[in-house]
Amino acid sequence: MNAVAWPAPLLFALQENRLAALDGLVRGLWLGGLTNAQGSVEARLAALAELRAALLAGELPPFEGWRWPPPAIARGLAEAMRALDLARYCRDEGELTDTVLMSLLFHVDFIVDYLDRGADEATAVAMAVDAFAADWQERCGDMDELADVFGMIPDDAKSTRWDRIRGLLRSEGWQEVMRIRRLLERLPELADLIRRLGRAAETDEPDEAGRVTELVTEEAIAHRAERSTVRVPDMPGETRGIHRADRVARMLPAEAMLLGHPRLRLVWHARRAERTLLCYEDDDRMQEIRRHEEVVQRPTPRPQPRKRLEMGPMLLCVDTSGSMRGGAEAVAKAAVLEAVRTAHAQKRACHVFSFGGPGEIVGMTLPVDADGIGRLARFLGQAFRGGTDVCAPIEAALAKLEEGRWQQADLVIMSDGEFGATPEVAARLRSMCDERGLRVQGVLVGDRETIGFLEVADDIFWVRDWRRYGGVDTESPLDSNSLTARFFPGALRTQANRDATISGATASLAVRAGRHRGDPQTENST
Amino acid sequence: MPVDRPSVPDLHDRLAGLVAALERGLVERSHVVRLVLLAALAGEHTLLIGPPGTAKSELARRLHLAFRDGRYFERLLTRFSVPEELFGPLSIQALEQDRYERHTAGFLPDASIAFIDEVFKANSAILNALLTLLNEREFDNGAGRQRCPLISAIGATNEVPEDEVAEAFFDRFLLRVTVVPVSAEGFAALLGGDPSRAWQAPASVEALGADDLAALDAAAGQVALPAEVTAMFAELRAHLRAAQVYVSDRRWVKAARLLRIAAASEGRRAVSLWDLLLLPWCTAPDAPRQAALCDWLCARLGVREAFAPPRVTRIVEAFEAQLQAERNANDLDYDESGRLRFSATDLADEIGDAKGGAQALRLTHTRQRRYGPAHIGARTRQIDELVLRLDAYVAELDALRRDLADYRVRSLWPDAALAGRADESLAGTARVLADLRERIVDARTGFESLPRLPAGEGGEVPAPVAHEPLPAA
Repeated sequence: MNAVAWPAPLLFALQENRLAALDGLVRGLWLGGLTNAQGSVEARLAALAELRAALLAGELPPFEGWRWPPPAIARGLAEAMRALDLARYCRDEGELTDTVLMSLLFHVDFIVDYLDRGADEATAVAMAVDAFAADWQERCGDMDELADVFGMIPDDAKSTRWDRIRGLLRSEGWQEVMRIRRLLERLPELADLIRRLGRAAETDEPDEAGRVTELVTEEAIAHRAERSTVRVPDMPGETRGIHRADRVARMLPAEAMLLGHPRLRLVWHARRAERTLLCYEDDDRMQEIRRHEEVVQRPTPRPQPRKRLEMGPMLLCVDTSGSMRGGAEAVAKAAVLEAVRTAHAQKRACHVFSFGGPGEIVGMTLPVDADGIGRLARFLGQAFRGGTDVCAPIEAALAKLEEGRWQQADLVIMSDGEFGATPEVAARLRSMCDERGLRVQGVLVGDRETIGFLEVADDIFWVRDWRRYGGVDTESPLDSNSLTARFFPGALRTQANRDATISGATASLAVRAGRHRGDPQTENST
Repeated sequence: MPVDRPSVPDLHDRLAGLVAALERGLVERSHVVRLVLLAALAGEHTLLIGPPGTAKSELARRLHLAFRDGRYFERLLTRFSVPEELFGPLSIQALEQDRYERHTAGFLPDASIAFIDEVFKANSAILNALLTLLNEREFDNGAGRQRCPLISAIGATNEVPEDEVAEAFFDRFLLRVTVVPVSAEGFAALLGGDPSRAWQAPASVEALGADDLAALDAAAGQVALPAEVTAMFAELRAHLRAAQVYVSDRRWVKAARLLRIAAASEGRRAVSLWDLLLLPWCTAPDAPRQAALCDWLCARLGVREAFAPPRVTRIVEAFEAQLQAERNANDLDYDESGRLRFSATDLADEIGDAKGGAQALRLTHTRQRRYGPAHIGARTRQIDELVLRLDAYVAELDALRRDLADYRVRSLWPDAALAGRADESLAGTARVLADLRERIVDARTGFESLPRLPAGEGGEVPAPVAHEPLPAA
């Protein structure tokens, strides 16, 4: 009962209402808004509320309309804000707007300190306005850059935690990020591919992969029985009280007395005719069962074509071996950046494994905030070198797929195909595909597909012209993506090939038994 | 007819005497006595809800003695009660002359104060006549309708059943008062005396006559309903609607009239906000909801508990926080152009990296930030404004406390315990305000004693702020 919300007291209501604008301000603005050195509290709070609403709508009110600070100061601030076009950044960005107001309060509060240190009025105001403009000049540039790379401004850049990002944007790695971002514009198919990963949401496209049996609810008529208790008046059961009626058998003795009086007899007859004799009221209760028909929803199984799924978490395995140097490396990095962008824009999870030689596996989750951007910049800034061991990252990815939030994920392997997976890992991957509907998307950045790659991936997106992205501009000599299948049909680990292959142990047994190819199989040859 | 009759003020004293007489010897029944008497003055009926043996009928018997020529009628209803028991026997003589009439003398149609025990047990044979009598104070007798002198009927019941009879009756009683057994504290007093023996009826001079009631009614017609009270009525109606308590329009009208009668009987010309504390018993149907409504009203009036006005408290806290920040400000928090850094992490990167340099000890005294007269003047000016603001709060509170004190001196009807609690809450709020004022005055002193810039600095514009030289040790 303590959780009752009591109404606001009438006492002090008028006084408190003069400060009503306080409730609309975020906590971060209270301190600056209440203790600022310029103007008085009420005008200041009202002005902050108005300014905030206007900025959120993407407009900058003319400074003559500001209730605070005084026009001498407001003029400079409004000009600075107009020059930077701050209102455009603030449109629909509550956190950023609050940060702008916070820094505005902060710089205005400093005017008195400039005065104390010997400046005259006009100079002090100019200093404060300049400081404010300088702060935001820098930040607007940074925000433009971030918006360019990620398609949006990360939350950290809108708040006071922004200085961490500011440091990042000056780093070497960031320059690389910008370069890769420009490269992405030349690879639209890659972006499209990444958008289609994951299995969390249904699309409208039917999936040719299979039909499922779904329960379809249909209307049906059912008979229902309902028990109810019915009161039956005047049935001898229980005497409940007195009422007016015409039942002579149940009338009160007082009514019977009337019959013995010459005049009152007439009253009795009149009352009986009018059904106003006082009688005992009897009734009884009966149980009754009523049947009635009712429309019910009944589920019936029907086969339905399955919908293709997309928009789930993403797991990326990136080959960072030495063989990827150059253009291939750039394409792989572009894919990672695109994955991070897509994941953030669509509120999806994204995890990247980079793999080199045995034991060289690094996993990172890349959210778009100061930490994530830092990690991303470091990753994109480093050169790829090392061996190629694909089993460890695939195993790590499979382990991650067991976790609850990653169960809907799809796996992307980005490589030049210069690797091979052990049969055990390949088999585990197959079983995951069959049981869980996992999809493995390969991105081949190389000149030819390889056996190793073909057998772990369901589908391979081949970036043929990868050399163009590394500065070296040569055409790939190939025009088909199934050379191996064409020239070495027995090399791929298909089911047919697997059935036709016998292991070394079985073969040596057969040789020792002196059997030849084509002999009929004997069952009990041990 | 003169507007302010002299009879109304002296009615106040007579009523005070009457209330004292009525509640003499009863334990923990003063509030119920007052409500029942007030309802009778307003010509409304009261329903007493409570277990057997809680002095419900004693209250009713005493009440009729407060009226000078009040005839009293009381009955216990059962399911087998017949109309003769309530409305009198059939007149045989009238029947001889072909008139179907009842002898109502000494029965309910003839009474001015009636006590009907177990009122919800009424059966269909008497229900309609009884409802008509309560509602319109008329009784169909033979060919004509007979006016009844009924002032107030008091119904009593152990519990409110949920059937159509209860619904029909429930709306006829404007006041619904729950009577509970005596608490542990009052138990000793209860054993101390037998109230029905030792009680003296009020003197007939004291008792109220028809002329007094008419005068009171005329005075109540002159009582104004101020805008703030009307607004509170509207709020209460919205609140009850949200709580899904249905209150009919008729009941609202009657409740407003009850408040007017209460004001007139105390000699006031207008209904006061404090009178609204009578409303829970007119609107909410049962004790828990009445208590909740009472709490809601008290909270709305600002007397439920001592509280700090939240927004002005925030201003005081903001100045305290600002003072703390300025005391701890350190020249290292300022960048090369003399501006305070916008965030602390910046600083941590600069000094301390991962070793927690931001938390490292610094030469605080020599590095302390210093302030000039313009800065401190700006802060104290803001604080002086705030002190004036707080004084306005104090003035408003004092006015309310005086109003409540005046009201309590004259008031007859409200629950004394409730008014006492309200007074305590207001006193608590006054202490909170005094405390806030003290804190802000302390903060002002704190700002004035901030470390000062050396005198004589200034005059020229130093673009970057030079650090103060180390004092010669």
